[in-house]
Amino acid sequence: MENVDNGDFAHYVNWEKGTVSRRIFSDAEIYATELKQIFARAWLYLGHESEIPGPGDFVHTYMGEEPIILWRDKQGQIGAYINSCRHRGNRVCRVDRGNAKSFACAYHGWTFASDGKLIGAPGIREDYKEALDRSKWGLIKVAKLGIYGGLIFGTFDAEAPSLDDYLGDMRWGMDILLGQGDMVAAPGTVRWRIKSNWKFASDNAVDYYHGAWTHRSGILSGHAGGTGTLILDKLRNPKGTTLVAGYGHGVNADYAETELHDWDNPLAAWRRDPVVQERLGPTRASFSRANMLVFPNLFINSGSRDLMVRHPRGPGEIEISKTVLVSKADAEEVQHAQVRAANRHFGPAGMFEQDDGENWSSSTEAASGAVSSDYDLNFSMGVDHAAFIYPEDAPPLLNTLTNEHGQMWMYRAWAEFMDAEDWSSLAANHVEPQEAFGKR
Amino acid sequence: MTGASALTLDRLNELLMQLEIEQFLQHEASLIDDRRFHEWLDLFTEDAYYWAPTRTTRLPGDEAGEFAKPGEGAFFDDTKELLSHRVRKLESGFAWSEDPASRTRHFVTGIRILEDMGEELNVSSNLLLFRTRLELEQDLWSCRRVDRLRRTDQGLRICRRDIFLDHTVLQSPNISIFF
Repeated sequence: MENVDNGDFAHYVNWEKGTVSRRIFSDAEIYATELKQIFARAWLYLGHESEIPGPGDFVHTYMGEEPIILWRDKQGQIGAYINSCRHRGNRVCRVDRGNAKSFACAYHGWTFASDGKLIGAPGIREDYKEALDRSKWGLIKVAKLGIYGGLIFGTFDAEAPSLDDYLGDMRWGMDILLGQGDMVAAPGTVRWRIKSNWKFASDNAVDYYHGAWTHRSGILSGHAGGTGTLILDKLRNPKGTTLVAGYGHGVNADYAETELHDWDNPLAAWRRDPVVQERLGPTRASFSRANMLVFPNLFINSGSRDLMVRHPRGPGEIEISKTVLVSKADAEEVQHAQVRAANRHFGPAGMFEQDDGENWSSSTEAASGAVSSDYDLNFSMGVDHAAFIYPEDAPPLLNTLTNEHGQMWMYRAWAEFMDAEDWSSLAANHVEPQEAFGKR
Repeated sequence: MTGASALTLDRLNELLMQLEIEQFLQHEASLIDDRRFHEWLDLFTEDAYYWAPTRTTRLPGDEAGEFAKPGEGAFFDDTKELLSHRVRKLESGFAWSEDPASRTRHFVTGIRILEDMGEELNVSSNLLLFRTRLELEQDLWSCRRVDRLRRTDQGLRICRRDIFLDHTVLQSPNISIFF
């Protein structure tokens, strides 16, 4: 990579050729570095505002491998804390979600309020002799929180740029979904594990190429409508575009084709809503569905309205947490139909997603071979053929849908994060997509 | 029950019904393990619903919210039509998560008739489902199932199956088989 070619990690990613070393998907030291350089630095998705509407409401999640309590305090302020007692480190919250004024650690009873502060410890007078300064031993706070369209993000790095700067033009992509209405999270998080390196799951978000083959059986089953042959035709000759944006983010979006859409379906009502159409503008209004990656590990699908965050669990495993968004204005039965459609499409038993997991775990298994790991993986599709289009209502877009530009944009960002000393050097070395793709 | 005097005709009918239900559920499970999916599908009524809600760990006193409700997050949320799509998917020749096929074993225990409404009855059962595939892939799922069975001219049929998993985070890359 021309801008960071002195780094230790840039040589794993060959931007000009479109290749990536297998080692970055298996090496334990690289993984440990990722937790520091990427997951302790990037903005990470934590949850949706609507999941914690009232004082004391909390959801449990992760930032990298750190367990996190996303908690609305009694004043109504949202905070995020590492779920680890400051005394011996135990989890103080041992459930997935709920409402609590405080959590008491099960070990010795140190107790923390919904604003993260230590409010009590047994024996504070008799045993600590009042020498324990409670103001210094609150839960470890996530340095910064930001909200975009109801999606709460956090970063451990106080020097990180604003969430808006981090997302950049990706906000335009996220609005393909978030602009469809006033979105709220539906209850019932689907969670499962796959023995995959987190990056294989992330890069799949902008991998239009795999759809017609990996998900062929889902298409042929009739689940996606008809016998599936129309859809397969479309997948063979896809029309659409790719957005690459900000720090490693990307979108694959295909244009809607009238014959493939059930325009009377209540779930497609937003397509007939003039306010929504105005808000989206002609380019986004013409999309059928978009698959997106918010780097490093949030997948979004605008069709089923899914948000899936893939938490790393060691170099060879991820834990996926899948939440469906519904439009607040929709009737309950329409919201339920939206969730049902998402349940059927994605998740471990989803008609489409069930075929992804073993692909990623097999890629991961193959990344640790003593001999084979000297042979780079091929991400060269479309290399030297990246061309931008400039619609009036959109940021610059790549003119093809099936390519490996989005993946390479992600691995380029990966190397930038891994080599950067700090956020200011990361931001200083970062280049915009047109410049980066112009140098291939 | 003590002594022969307690074996009334009613009690005998109850036991026969228990036996009938047990044989039905064991047969149904064997059809999945033997991958006779069309015969398995035929055991479901046209209006059948097949549902496996998500589960979360809750604070003591908040357990009512443990399982997602209908219309919320679920692993399976299937009509009969979707179940038939699943079978068609398996037979498409491109169902990679079942190519080659998984080896499954359904251990069905604790079969209890919860309620007999005449034409239909509610039956609870415990299921331990073991799967291996490829070389060393292994999955073990545990759940309680509540089935609504219907008496039809063809015999017992399933018109609703609720699958209450004993897991919050599934440790499986996919669920490409049936519970």
